[in-house]
Amino acid sequence: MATMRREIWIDRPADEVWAVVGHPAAVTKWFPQMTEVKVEGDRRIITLASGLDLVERVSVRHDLRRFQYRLEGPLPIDHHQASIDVIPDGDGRCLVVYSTDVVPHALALVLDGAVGDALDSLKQLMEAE
Amino acid sequence: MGRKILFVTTDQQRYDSLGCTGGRVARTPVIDQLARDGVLYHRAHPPNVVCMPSRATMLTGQNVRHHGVWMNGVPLPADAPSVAQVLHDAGYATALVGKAHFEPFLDPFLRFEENRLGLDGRHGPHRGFDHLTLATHGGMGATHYAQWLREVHPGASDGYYPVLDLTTLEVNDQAGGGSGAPQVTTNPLPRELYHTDWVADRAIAWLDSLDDAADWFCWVSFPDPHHPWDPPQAEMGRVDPDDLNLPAGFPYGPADLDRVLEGKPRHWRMWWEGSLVSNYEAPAGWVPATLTADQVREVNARVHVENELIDEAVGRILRRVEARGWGADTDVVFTTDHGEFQGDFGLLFKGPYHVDALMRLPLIWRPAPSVWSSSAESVGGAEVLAPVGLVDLAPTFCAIAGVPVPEWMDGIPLPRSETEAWQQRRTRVLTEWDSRHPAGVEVHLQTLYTDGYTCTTYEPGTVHDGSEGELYDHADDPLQKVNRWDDPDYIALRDDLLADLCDHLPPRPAHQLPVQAPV
Repeated sequence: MATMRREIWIDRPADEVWAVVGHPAAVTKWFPQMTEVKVEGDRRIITLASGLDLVERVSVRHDLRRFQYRLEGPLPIDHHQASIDVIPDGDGRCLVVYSTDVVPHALALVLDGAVGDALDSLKQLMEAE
Repeated sequence: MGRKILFVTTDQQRYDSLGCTGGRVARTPVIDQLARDGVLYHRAHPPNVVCMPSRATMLTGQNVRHHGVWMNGVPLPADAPSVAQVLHDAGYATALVGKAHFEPFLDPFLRFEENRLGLDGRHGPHRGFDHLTLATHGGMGATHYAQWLREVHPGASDGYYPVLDLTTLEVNDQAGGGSGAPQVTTNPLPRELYHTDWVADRAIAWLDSLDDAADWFCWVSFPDPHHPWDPPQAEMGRVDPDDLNLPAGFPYGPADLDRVLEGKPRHWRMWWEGSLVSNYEAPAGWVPATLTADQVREVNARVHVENELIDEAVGRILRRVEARGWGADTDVVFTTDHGEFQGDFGLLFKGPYHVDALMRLPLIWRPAPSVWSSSAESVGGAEVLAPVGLVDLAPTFCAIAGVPVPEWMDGIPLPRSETEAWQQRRTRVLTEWDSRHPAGVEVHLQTLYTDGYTCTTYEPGTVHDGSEGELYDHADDPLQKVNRWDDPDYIALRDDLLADLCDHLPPRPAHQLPVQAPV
């Protein structure tokens, strides 16, 4: 299993960042190349700019500021689990940690690169507000 | 009007695949004629034996450690310099038609512009090219060719072998053809829809879009003869696998192979027996020990057919260039990005193995006849034995265009004769490999070719402790079967070569660019 972790500091309060990250339907605001999102219960379907529909199961823990999701398809996935944690650092700053476990290995590089872009985009979005 | 530049590349083509370099099967009269009219380089090496680093060097004129694309899956930075941009700024119309691969193919999030161009139906500009029409192996992916094939001939792409196994995202090991070789299938696609002819058609269309007075740089980048080996079945009558001799480098038998592998660093044997997958460029599920003589013959027959189709496609482009009245003013450069085992050492594909099968490339420069036929330095039929590198291509294009070679390029213009090569003090060429497989296996090696010797040193990695090396004396071992690394008679030479290699390796960059896809 490939395990990856990316993190980024954002100069905004954790609650503000969590309001975006913790909202399943807001992912298109900050994750590049995601053009549409549908949320039905714990099922989220994201349409990529390539036309690919990602099907996910999501879990939100507002008390921990932890967003978790499991990618179920259509990419070839034997196992996937991702967590996004928003951790406060004082009143005006927070750390966003994006962790991913995935099988097959080949998919890890693809997801990791996309996550890196997404965190950069999230920081840009939040700090511009 | 200045000189035009037709830059023709193939993918994964061996030095010995052409008539002019000793090939005796594929008929390549067009490329052979370029060699007779120009300069044939017998020791052209790539900076790296996989696509992305090598292609990044062709575009930038920089060593791998300078442009930073250290393995497949590392995208060339968007702001990397480009010889196409230099030529564009000098007033040239610039185009790339065919396989680019400066950015990863496996890109479901569409993070890379090459893939967005294809899916959006845009044609540039990008990396200094005014126009890009992109294609790669088969009908998968986001290239213009894949989109075109799906839209205009629905279902036709199903004839191609799927390079990747979409259930695992690994390079496919599915067996096919008559011999059960990996990456082989019978492709019913008509020749006119196959990517080789499609690339030639699009290159001709772009040339036809230009004014007669235009100066132009056209990189025609054929995806073949890279695997999968699935040329149009209607063309397979050209070469009967049963008529082929086995390659000289194919082992005589188990004892011969055992002796050869015994002398090499252990990743050679580990890959052959199936206990190590060190890189993504060969099918992870394929074990080379299963390779049969019939499979080698079938793969090679298909490669020969693909090389003939490329030769004929180049001929069509050259005829169009002549018809436009540009023939006398057009320089033609033909080469490839790296080689292929094709049965040498009982192996197929490529990997961290620095031997001639992967490192020795065909390279031909046919200067514009209007310049050289009237010159005392006419080069027709020149042969250069001195080592040159793909890093020298971009500076050569600058020289052809009459623009200064930028300081950020590491190479120098190719010599037009052996005398000029020696005047340029060309005595060595370097090739490097660094890889980190998604499963965690790391391999690092650096190689010097000089004066008939190939000397490779290994850095510590997953299966190497850093003491390993390879030394081949081409004069008495042209197939590189006998590793002289620990031979007492070669120790002094080995140490001299290692010192020379260390003296000429550029420093590693301060920051290693991240790998963002397996390929």
